[in-house]
Order: sequence, then structure tokens, then C-alpha cells
Amino acid sequence: MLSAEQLQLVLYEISLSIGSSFELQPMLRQALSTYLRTLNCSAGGVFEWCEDAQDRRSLQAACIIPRSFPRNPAYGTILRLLPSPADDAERTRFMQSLPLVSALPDGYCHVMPLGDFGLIFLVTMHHELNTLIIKSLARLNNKLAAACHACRQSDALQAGEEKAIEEHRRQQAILDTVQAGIVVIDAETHTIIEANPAALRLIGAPKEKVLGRVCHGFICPAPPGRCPVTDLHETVDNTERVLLNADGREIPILETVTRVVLGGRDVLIGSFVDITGRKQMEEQRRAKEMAEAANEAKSAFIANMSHEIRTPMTAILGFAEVLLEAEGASQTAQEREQAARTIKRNGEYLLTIINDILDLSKIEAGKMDVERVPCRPCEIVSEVSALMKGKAREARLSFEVEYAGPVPETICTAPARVRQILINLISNAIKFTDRGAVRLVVRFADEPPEPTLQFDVMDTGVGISQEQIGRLFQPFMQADASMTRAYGGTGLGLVISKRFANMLGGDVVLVESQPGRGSCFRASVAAGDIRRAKWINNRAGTVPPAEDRHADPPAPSSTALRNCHILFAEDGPDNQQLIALILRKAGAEVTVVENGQQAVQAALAARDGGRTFDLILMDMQMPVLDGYAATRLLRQRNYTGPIVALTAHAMASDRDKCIQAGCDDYAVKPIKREALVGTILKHLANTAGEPLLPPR
Amino acid sequence: MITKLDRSGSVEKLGILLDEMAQHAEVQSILVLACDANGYTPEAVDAILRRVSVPLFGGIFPEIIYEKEKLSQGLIVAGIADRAEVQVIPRLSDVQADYSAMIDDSRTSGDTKTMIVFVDGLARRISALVEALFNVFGLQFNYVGGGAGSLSFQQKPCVLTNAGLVQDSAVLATLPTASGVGVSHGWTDIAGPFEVTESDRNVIQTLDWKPAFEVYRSVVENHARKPLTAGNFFEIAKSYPFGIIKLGTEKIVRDPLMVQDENSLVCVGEVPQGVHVHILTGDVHSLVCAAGRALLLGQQCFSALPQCRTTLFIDCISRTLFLEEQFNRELEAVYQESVSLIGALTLGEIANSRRDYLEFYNKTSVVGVLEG
Repeated sequence: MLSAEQLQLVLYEISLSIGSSFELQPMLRQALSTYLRTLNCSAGGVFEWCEDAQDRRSLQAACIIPRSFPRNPAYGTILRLLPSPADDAERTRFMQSLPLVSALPDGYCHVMPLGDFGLIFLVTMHHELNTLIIKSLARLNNKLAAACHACRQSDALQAGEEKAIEEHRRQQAILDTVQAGIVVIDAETHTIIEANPAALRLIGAPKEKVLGRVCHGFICPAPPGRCPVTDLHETVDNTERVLLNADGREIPILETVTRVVLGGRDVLIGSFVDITGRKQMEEQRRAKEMAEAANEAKSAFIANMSHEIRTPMTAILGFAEVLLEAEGASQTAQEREQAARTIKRNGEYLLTIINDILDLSKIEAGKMDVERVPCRPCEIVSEVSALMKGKAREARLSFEVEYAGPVPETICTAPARVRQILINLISNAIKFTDRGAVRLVVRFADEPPEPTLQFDVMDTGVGISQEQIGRLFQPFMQADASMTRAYGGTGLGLVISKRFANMLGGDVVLVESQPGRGSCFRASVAAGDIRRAKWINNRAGTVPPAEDRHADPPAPSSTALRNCHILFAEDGPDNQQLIALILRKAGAEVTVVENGQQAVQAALAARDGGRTFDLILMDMQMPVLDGYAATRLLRQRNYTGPIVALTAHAMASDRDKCIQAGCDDYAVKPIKREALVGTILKHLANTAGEPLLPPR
Repeated sequence: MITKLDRSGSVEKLGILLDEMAQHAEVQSILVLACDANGYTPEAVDAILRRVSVPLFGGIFPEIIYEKEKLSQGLIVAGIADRAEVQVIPRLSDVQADYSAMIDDSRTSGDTKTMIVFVDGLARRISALVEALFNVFGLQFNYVGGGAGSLSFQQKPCVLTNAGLVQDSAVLATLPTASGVGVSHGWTDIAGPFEVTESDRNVIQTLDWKPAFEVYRSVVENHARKPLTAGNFFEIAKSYPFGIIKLGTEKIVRDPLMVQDENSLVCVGEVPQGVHVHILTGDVHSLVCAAGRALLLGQQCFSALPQCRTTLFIDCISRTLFLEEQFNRELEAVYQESVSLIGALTLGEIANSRRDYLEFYNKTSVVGVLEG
């Protein structure tokens, strides 16, 4: 039997053993072992109240010492003492009956409550714990119950922590393995606070050199204060952006940025993938599509050109055949004239097409030079107006010119190109207008970067849809293919006009257009230095009297070249025949040779024989010795007579080339009769008087 | 039980006796009690032990007991007619070791009646093992055994198993052999209680928050009328053990062995922090009476036929040191005519008669009355 003092010591020792751990099992083992050892018990255990799936409370063993005790028959006896889970009243009665002592076959079982946690039982083999001990244990049992609750809470916390740790590991594993780069950025300071391996790979720097850095200028090209998300409030969701890597290289990425609060911290979570490969593919695809489109456009252009060339050719060849067959037939003189005029008109149209193509080729090759000279814009407008009025009249349209405000009397530009631009735009306006009017409005615009002269060409025609607008100004394209079919034309006019305008410091733009209601194109060219220019207020749009360009010029008189002996070098029999005929009809005596060598021989022989030709008409492309070489040779042999080049090359550079070879002038194929005769006359006169061309 | 004594304790004789016993038709298991003075080493005896074909368990002790004689050299080989299930528990000083998990309770059955336990008596977690034995097996059978080792207090291999001579280990042998176990020590309080305010396993650091040696010396010097120093500590302390309070039975004795770090006391067996201890002392009469009482209690618990039994006497070596020439009176107290008496003088005792909480004792007489 314990003395009161010994009992106090035992209780003290038990008290010290309670709560030695925050884990229930070790804590209970420690405490229960002390209970058993100090109270000399052969077995003991703690039961805990648990709720099953039906919310029924039952007692479940939390700790039993010894481990083998459940195999002891006494354990079954103890279990039978416990209340049934289904019976609340029995449970209440049972708990009220505690503490209780129950006799076992070879000992005693003492059952005591453990607060609302459960109960504790102690088995002694040969002595019953007296009432004093049982009562004294009550406070310790309450302490043990509190410790058990604390352990359960700790278990729950630990389970929560373990779950959180597990969740963290899971997320970390995902972050570590996902192929998308992910960075977490403090939304306030814009410092990078986390980056996964994929992000680090893309950035190209180790984690320690990335975390803590401000994203601006490091991985994001946006400057401080211009964060797309926090400053500009843009939505970055599957958005194509640029990531700067550690070398400063820009990497195209597809990025999504989400702004969230994590752990009380306002952060930006950016996820992104490298789309360099995709971009390259897109670029390749775009290039391929462009190449295909260009090919397609060129094919269409060739088809269109073929059509545009074959159409007048059909007329030319057809009417030529009619004329040939008409020899001796019942064709009236009027019919023959009509056929000849048709052939001439279609030939001129062919020439226009060829000139356009040549112009565009030169522009595209960057070889088109424009020479700006002082000129009078009102004169250009007047000439164009005179020309276009006739065409408008043919199309049963009115054509008006209006000056919106005063314009300089003189500007510095390339008048021929301006003329070409206006003719193109107005011709288009007339072509695409069925009824109504075409207006040309001229104004001076003193706007930066330099003052320009603007020409608005307005029509009441078919107009252009938004979709068609995108295709305007593209080489080889009209607004759409159906227009080409409906209205004809090469589609080069707008492109050439725009290029010319660009070269002249201006542009050609579509100001507005509505399908079915008409369009307004604006051409502008730089005015140049106008500080000393006079201003003309020509509101009425008066222009000088129009010269009817459609009327054929008078044919040269049959005596214009009388007594004139011309050496004509030409390898082509048709041109030999045609030009020789023109010259002879103008009264000239013509000696024809077939190449440059013959020309040199004939010219030198005549000079040496004292019968120098009055003029040599030299085709520049001939077999054996071409015109350039022949001319140079003649000049080397001190031949001083006039030599006029004849060439199919219509560019200024070709003209220069001829002059440099030693020619005095230049006539372009196809030959216009009056122009050719006029040129020859000019040089015959020079022979008698002053030279036409300045000495080189 | 067939018992054989060899007074030489030679390795050669060990081999001969083990071979003979293992080949004996009635022997299913072998118990070996050997003297430290025999000088066994693993190198010398492991091969012999490993060739024994029957379960073997035992220990090397400061002295052994055969009939009414204690021997400081020699060995006893006892052949048991029942087959023992033997398991060895290593790492007996390892604070990380979980002995409850290490003990295999599947080897016992409903027929198991007795467990004979020998531990390395200088291991530092013997009480933890004993507590684990109780936590696993409880009081379903009797326990008897004690601590092996040397009075030099140098830990060395001292536990005998089929695997060899091992150190810092315990050997557990469960038998279907009926037994009765009596425990008694005869020590009484002279001072206390003192709270063990700081301890580390078997080392008491402070008592009532004062240096343990200071408290102990104050009491002992006053009682013994002799100065107590680290130098003469064991000579005097063998008469003044600690006693841990336990309900319904004698105090659990803890034997202080030496002073450590000037202030701490090293004991045989653990002294948990928070327990209360008394300082005890005894005399020849009380100790001899306790031994006789232990026999009586053992006999009372023994339910087998009385004519076929062996007495296994596990007595603390410190009792012989205390009793000196009077120790033979203890032997006489436990000796019975016509009953074989074998035993060992141990470093701590383990005993339970299925009544009390299992404990590791010091300075205690344990009498196991075994069937056969």
C-alpha cells in the first residue's frame, strides 16, 4: 500500500510523463507506460471516441499496452463493458457510471473517463486500485485527455502541413517538368520572385542570376512605368510578345499573364512558350505565299498582257489583211481609210502598253530617273484636260477642272511624269465610270514636310470595296480580276503613277471610295522651291484652248526633203521599206544599206568621192557592225555629217548612249512620219546653220 | 534439465560440453552460464557457438553459481528438454532503436510459459528493452534473466548466441517450460524521496536540481560515517543503492557504479527523469531473508510437479560484494536438497511472475523455479 506521500510522488511522475510528444501514439505509450509501471499494472489502454459513417459515436482503441493484450481473454471482457455505438442512452449511462472497477478472472479492470476524448483502463493482477488512487488520477486523466486532444489537433495540423507540402511538391514537379516557361513577378516592384527551369532555359541564365532582378529591361523590353499589365492595363492572354534573354536577344513568345494575390502578395504569373520555330514557319509560309501570289500575279499579268496585246494585234493584223485583199476589190476609199485608222489606233495602244511595261520595269529595277525642271502646272493641267475631255466626251461623261485656291505659276517637277500620272488617273476614272462626271480638283497644300501640289481625281463610277482597296497599288493587280475582264487594262497605271509620284516627293492615294458611288484618288507632287513663284488664282479652271490630240498631224509635204540624199542603215527589210518609203515620199533620195559596216563604207566612200550624204539615219541594232560601233568608227574617221540614231529603246539612257556614240539625234521606233521628217529637217538645217545639240 | 559444470572454463571444454549437450537425445535447447575470468572472445568461441545445432543462449558473468558454490572461473552448460525460440536484439545502447518494433512477437505461442533474458549489463538502454518486452508481451509468461558483463565495467562481448559472442545486445529465449519466479532485495529506505530532475538513460545528473553526487554523498557520508569520493565510490556505494517507488511491491533498486563528470552518478539500469528515488541500505540479515523470500515466491508461483525442477538463481553481483563472506548464506537460503541449483551473479536482474509490471532490477535476488 502506498503512503499518501508516495502516492503524490507517483502521481507527480505520471503527470510529468503526460504530453511528452505531440504525436498521439508516442505520447500515449509514454504516459501509459508510466501509469502501468508506477501503479504496477499488468495492462492498460486508452479508447477514443470516434464517429462512424452514420455519425454514431463509438470507442476505438487508441493505445493498448502490452501489444499482445488484445489476445488476452481479459481484453474481451473489457470490450464487453463498453457501450454499443447505436445506443446513445446506453453511452450516456456508461459514461455516468465511470469510474468503475470490474473484476477479471485473475485481476481487476479500472475504467476511468478521459474527459470528452474517451476513456482509460488499467488492469491489475493482484491488487485493486483503491478509491483514493482512482480519485487522485482523475485530474491526471483530464490532463491526459487534453494532451490527447492537442495531439489530434497536431496530427490534423501535421496532416494539413503534409498535404500542403505534398501539394507544393506536386506543383513544383509540374513547374519543373512543364515545357512552358513560368515566372512569378512582384506586381509592385516588378522583381522576379520565381522562375521554373523552362523559363530559365529560355532566359539563358541560372536561377540565382534571375531571381531578384527587375523584369524591365531584363526579360521584358517594356521600360519601367510601361508594364503592359500593371501600367498600361493591357490584357496579355495568349498574346504574341517578346522575351529578352540574358544575351539581350529577342525571343518571340506567346504569353499569358495573370495577376493574383499569393500569400498576401500581389504578383504577376507569366507563362510563355517560345514561338521562334512557329514564327520562322510563318515567315517561310508568308514568303512562300507571297512568292506564290507574285507568281500568280505575274501569271495573271502575262495572261492579261497577252490579252491586251493580242486584242489590238487582232485588229491590226485583221484590217491589214482586209486592206491587202482589198486590192482591186470593191472597197471604198472611206472603208480603206477606216481600216488604216483602226490599224493606227490599235498600234498606238500597243505602244502605250509597251511603254507602261518598260516604265514599270525601269521603276522596279530602280533605274527610272526623273529630271525635275521648272514648269507651269496650269499648262500641264491644260494639256491633260484637253486630251481627256475628248475621251470623256467619247464616254459620254462630263469632265471638269477646278482650282481650289491659288497655285504657284511655276513649280519644280518632272512635267512629263506629272502629265502621265494625271492621264493615268483620269483615264481610269473615265474607264470605270458609266455615267456622271469626272472632276479634276487642283490645290496647293503647304503642309510638312514640304509643300505639294495636289490633284484630286473624282468620279461617279463603280467605286471600290474595302476588300478591293487592299489590292490597289500592287503591281500586276487591278482591284480584282473581274475588273480586268470587264474593263480591260493592265492594272499598271496606278502602280506607275504612285511610283512616279513617290519619286517626285508625293504620293497617289485613294481618298475615299464607295461601291456604286464613285472614288476619289489624290495625286500629289512636291512643288519644290516656290519662294519666288507667282501665284495664279484660276478658280474657273480655265485652260488654254485644247488641241485635239486625236486629230492626226498633217502629213509632211512631199518636197520637205527634196534634194536631200540620205544614207539609211537598217537590217530589217520591213523597216527598210517603210522608212525608205516615208523618206522618199518626203522628197529625199535614199541609199539603203543592211548593216553598220556597209554604212561606214558607203558614207566614207561618198565623202571621199565628194558626194557626202546629207544625213545618215542609223539603226543602232544591226548585224556585222551595230549602229553604235559604226557611228564611233565614222567619227573616228572624222566624218562630220549628221547622224540620227534610230532605235527601239525608248529610255533616256538609251538616248544618252546614242549621243555618246557620236549621233547627233535620236528617233524612236515605231516611227512617226512627221516626227522623223521633222528631226531630219532640223539637222539638215543645222548643217547649214548652227548645230542643234550642244557640243559634248 | 541436464546440467554440466566445468571449472576450467576453457574454450576447448566449452566446445566439448556444447557438442555433447547438443547431441544429447533429450536436449532441445542449451543454456550457458560462463565466468568472465574464462576470457572468452568472439574470435575464440564464435566458431564453437555457431556449430551448435540446437538453440543456444546464455551469458558471461562476473561469477556463476552451481549448487551451493559460486565460481569465478568455469562454465555451466544446461540442456533443456524444451525447444527455445531465440532472438537477438542488437543496439542496446542506441537511443534511436525502437525495441518494440524490433521484437518479433510472432515467435511466441500460447504454449510459451517462460522467457529467459540475458542482456549486456553495461548497455545503456536495458530498461527501454524491458519496457518494450512488457509493451509487446505483457505478462503472458514469466520472465527471468539478468545482465551479463564484467566487473571491470568495460563493455565487451558477453551475450552468448548461436551466432556467436555479442556485445551491446540481448538474447531472448522463449520456452514452453513451466516456471515460477520470485523477486526480492531486502534494501530499505534511509533518505528520500529525491526527484530525478535530470538524467540521461542510466546517468543521474541532478536530484532535486542539485548535483546528484552532492546529494548522494551528503546522505551516504552521514550514514556510513566515511568520506565518499570518486576514488572509493563503489566500495561504499555498493551498500547504498537507489530505490524507485513502485505501487504494491518493493522499490526498484538502482545500483550506482561510479561518478561521472564529478557530479553525475552512473547506475546499472536506467533512471527515468521525473521519478522519485530513495537512498536505500541493507544488512546481511535483510538480504539473506530477501533471497529466501524470492525462493518462496518462486515456488508459490510454480504450478508444475515439484519433484522435477531446477532452480535458476539470478543474484546481483553487488550483493556478493556487499555480503562478502556472508554470501554463502544467501546460497543456502535458496538451495534445496534434490533440486539442481544453477545461476549467475549479474549486473542487474530481470524478473516477473505475471503479477507485477516487468522491471529491470539491481541488487536483487531473483529465483526462477524451472520445470525439468
